[in-house]
Amino acid sequence: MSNFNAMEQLIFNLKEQIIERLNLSDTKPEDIDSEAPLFGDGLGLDSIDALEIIVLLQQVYGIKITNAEEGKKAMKSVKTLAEYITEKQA
Amino acid sequence: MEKRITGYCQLKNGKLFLNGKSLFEADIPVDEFLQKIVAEFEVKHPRFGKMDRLSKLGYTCAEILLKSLGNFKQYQPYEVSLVFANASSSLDTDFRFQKTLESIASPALFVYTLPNLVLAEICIKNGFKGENLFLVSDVPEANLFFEIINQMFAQNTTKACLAGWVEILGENYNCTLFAVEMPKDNSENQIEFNITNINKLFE
Repeated sequence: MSNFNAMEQLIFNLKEQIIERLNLSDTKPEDIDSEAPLFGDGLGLDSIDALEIIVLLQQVYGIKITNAEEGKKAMKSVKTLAEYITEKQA
Repeated sequence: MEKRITGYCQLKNGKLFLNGKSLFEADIPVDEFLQKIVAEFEVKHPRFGKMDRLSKLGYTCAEILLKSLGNFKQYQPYEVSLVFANASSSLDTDFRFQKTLESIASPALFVYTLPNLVLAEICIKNGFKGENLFLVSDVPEANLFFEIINQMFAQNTTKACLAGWVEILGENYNCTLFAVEMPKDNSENQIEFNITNINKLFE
């Protein structure tokens, strides 16, 4: 699989996992813009959702966010989250 | 003007009653039952999927009752109070949260490990800022509701009160909510506010 396809697959998986974990029952993966902000105007997630995403990263990808600034950058959008995971797993 | 029960709503054993009239019936699990009612009676909430089951049950019942009481919008935020009670507190959610402790605790479940969160969901949605109280007792105690609601009205801030029983543990659930106001005129759904009538609502 090329890097492009691997990234696309990871983004899709993340969207599915976020929907399931955050109980976004009316949302489908295709409804989520990969580059839209996860918090505020975009998907409209809140601080508890942020904690759930941190748990998701730890449980599914074995990644612990220990630096708040790094976490903030990583959780800007689904795409930045996927890039963060790829970087940490490299 | 006298206090009167101006409306009541019950979700119990797959049935929805509003002011004593049966509006919906389905022999299905509680999660499915609530989803169907939310869709059927258009009481959607953007955070509904994120709520715990106690909040979903209380919120759905409250919204159906409040929709039928259009005049609740006339009150100022601090004039609407809430008094709820149940037997199992937040145990239904506590058990779910306990399961997550086997791996990593779920923050989303943790925030609902208090029963009064159901009051918060209803207050945030409707902008209510009056007194609110959540009691835990084995059975609905009509006399306690009567005393507390009377006390709230006596303090002159409360002009309307949403009260009742919201209980869920597994597939056993019962939500019976009623509204107390001091209406200027009597309509067909109003009943006298007294202990006997409150007891009848919980039957």
